[in-house]
Amino acid sequence: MIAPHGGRLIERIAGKKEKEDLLSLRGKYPEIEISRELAFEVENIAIGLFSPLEGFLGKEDFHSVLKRGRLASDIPWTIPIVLDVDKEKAQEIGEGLFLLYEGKPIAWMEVQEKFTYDKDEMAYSVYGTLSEEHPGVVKVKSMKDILVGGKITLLNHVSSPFPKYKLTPKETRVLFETKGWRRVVGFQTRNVPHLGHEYIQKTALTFVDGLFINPVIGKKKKGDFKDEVIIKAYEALFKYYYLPETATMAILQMEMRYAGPREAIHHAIIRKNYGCTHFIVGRDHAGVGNFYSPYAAQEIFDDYPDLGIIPLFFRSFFYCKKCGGVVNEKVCPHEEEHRISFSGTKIRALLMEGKIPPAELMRPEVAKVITEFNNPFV
Amino acid sequence: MGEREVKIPEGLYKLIEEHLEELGAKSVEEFVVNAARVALQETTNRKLEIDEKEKEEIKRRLRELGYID
Repeated sequence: MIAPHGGRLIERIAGKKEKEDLLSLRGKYPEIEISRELAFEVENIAIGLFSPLEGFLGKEDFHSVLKRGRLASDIPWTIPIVLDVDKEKAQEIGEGLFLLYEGKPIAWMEVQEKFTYDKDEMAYSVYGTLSEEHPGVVKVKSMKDILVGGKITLLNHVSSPFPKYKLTPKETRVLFETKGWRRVVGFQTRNVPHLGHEYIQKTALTFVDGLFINPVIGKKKKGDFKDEVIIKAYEALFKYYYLPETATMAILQMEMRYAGPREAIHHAIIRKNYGCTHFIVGRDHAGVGNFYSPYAAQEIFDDYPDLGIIPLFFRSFFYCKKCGGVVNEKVCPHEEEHRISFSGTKIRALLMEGKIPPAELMRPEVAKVITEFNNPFV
Repeated sequence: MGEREVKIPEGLYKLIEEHLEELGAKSVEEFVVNAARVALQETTNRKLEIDEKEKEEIKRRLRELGYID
């Protein structure tokens, strides 16, 4: 089994006694209500998905991540996982802090430091732009002025609409071992599956023992498919077109940042912590608009020879009527007129009208599930 | 995040310099840093040990969720 990122799987979940002890401190320390996205980050740190992080980044790690895409210890890490608070709240915060979500304490934080930061520097380092057309830049600019670093201890898990599909890295590692999978490829998605996705997944699966698909559950852009639609669509695909012996699925509760290349590395690290040995990186992975060149998210892996997980790069796929199947430009000699592209816009337009896309683009069982929703979009 | 200097034999330095392109590095320094990072990544990673009792509990949950038989 592949080792976790940084060599050790982090687990910062309070046991019964520790939880009681920590909760008895309520009233003596400040509390802050955090967003759903931050609550996801807290839980992801606690269950080890963000190993080797044990909490929110401190100043040295924060600057190292922005400048070098690595923690101060030199371990690859590209996305700053931070807790932002306003100046007034920062003044109240001493050595500890309770993090609340929907009024309920979800974590205790041992505060190690508080520091100011440059939002433009953060946005540019992570997203490569300062354009306010980029949702990540807008988010950074709306962040509060002080960052608080320190270890967290989870007191309560964040509820999920899909508990059946919520697994910790420890659980996935036992799952892969039980299934006898030594080599596992991870696939991240925020979309309903079309035949192009299936082709990529199955091509990768041909070379390993197991396929692990992670639909991302969390805040999405307007026009994206709703979480429940993606889950139902994948359930249909699994039922009719996958073998349980070689493929499985679990959700990933996490906000999409659309940070393109840097986010691709982050996604690969998460899969490594789940126990995957390989990770699929497609065209414009985690991109948005035209902010990143189509294969920038693949090229960045050259800077991380020590990442410890093997990226599998895929280019664009299309259906070729002459080849009679899903192919790519490396294997198909036919002209453009014979090709049908997997245009997300085109598939979305058909589904919006309640129409079933052609079988060359989407499995009819998958399309049927999607059209059963009154409005499948965010 | 400071930097330290290390010394390597001149012959080795020149050999790396001659083969930079094949080694996929832009400079001798980049090659040496990356080689050290890869070696450390392989050396410092430890196998995750989960004790049998916990493993059985996890398997029970995975069975309940329908992941395994």
